[in-house]
Amino acid sequence: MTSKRISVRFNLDNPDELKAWEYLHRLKTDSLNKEIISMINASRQNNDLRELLRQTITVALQGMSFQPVEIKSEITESDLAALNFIDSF
Amino acid sequence: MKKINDVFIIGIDSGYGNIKTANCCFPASVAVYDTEPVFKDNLLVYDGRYYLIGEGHKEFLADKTKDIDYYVLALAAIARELNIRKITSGRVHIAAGLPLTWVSGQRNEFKDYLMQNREVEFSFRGTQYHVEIIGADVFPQGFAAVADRLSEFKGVNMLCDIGNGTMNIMFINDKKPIPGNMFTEKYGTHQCLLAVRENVMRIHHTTVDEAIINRVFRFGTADIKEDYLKTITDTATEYVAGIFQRLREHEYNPELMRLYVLGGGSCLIRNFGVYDENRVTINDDICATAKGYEHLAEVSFIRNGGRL
Repeated sequence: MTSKRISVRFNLDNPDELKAWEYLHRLKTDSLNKEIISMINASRQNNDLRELLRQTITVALQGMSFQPVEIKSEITESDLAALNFIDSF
Repeated sequence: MKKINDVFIIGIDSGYGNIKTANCCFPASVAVYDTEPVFKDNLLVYDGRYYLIGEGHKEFLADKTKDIDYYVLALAAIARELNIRKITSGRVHIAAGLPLTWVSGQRNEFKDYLMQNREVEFSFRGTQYHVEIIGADVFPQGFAAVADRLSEFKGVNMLCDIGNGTMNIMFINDKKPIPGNMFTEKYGTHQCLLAVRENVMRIHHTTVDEAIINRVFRFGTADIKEDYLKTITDTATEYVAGIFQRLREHEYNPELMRLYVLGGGSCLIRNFGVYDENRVTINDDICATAKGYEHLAEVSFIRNGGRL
């Protein structure tokens, strides 16, 4: 069996590292080792998926422009009063 | 700018001092050249001539159709609005306006003026535009700015739109505009500017830059020596007193009615007027009238069953 070992040091005065340390120690797991490996792989997958989505949306929107479409469906009593006034000129 | 089907409705408030659209404001002045000028900022090229927008000084013309300037300024306004959406061609319906009491007399002429060419090719700031002007509406200035909120005008309300060249006065009573009681006075902020120049020359024997005067008008102060500032603020205070005097001549009574002030001159009322803040509303959105024109064109479109 080929195994590699690394040691990770957590500086508990650093808020980010303290948060990660506390998170790891709140996990209810048989193997912290397995949990960390699984988190690293999931994070890689998420990044790949995010990049894929970004590329897909960019291609789909190429050449499109956005314009506001603001069509009111109905006119109010106030609008009618305004239009009647304008008609009086 | 609003879009209905494939038509862009562009509100253009063609004032004597500035041209306003729903999103832009620029000086209503044009310098024309037969050859390409050295400075090309805000250069509009139309029909083989070169127009620098915002340059020179436009004199007060009661009839805006007397020369081509307001047409060229309208093209610049269309370009500014289209440019916001990165559009360079399209079908455009212009929603414009005239002073309250001039609408009935000049509406058709101004409409024809704005629609003098159906297809227009021009460039502005180095970008080529091709627009088809399919129609134009001419609405009453000032009123347009509040047309979408008439329901807020309970009781008796005097509406006062202070522009650069004119001041328009009308009444909105119990949410309804009163057609027979409207006035247009040639007492815009330009009158105040001229009075300031005259007083500064008379008292200090010098001229003061227009940018400084406008700064005092807008903010009530500027970084200049106290005695110059006093001359400007005293003159502005006198001008505002003159506005209230004219309002009273048209039956303004602060105890019996509310006053709604809008337009570029509304900042003068705010900074130099004496009034009851609970009974006077100041709308200092200088684009409010252009937005109102677009609103009126839109509701008119709906009422007409989809025809602009």
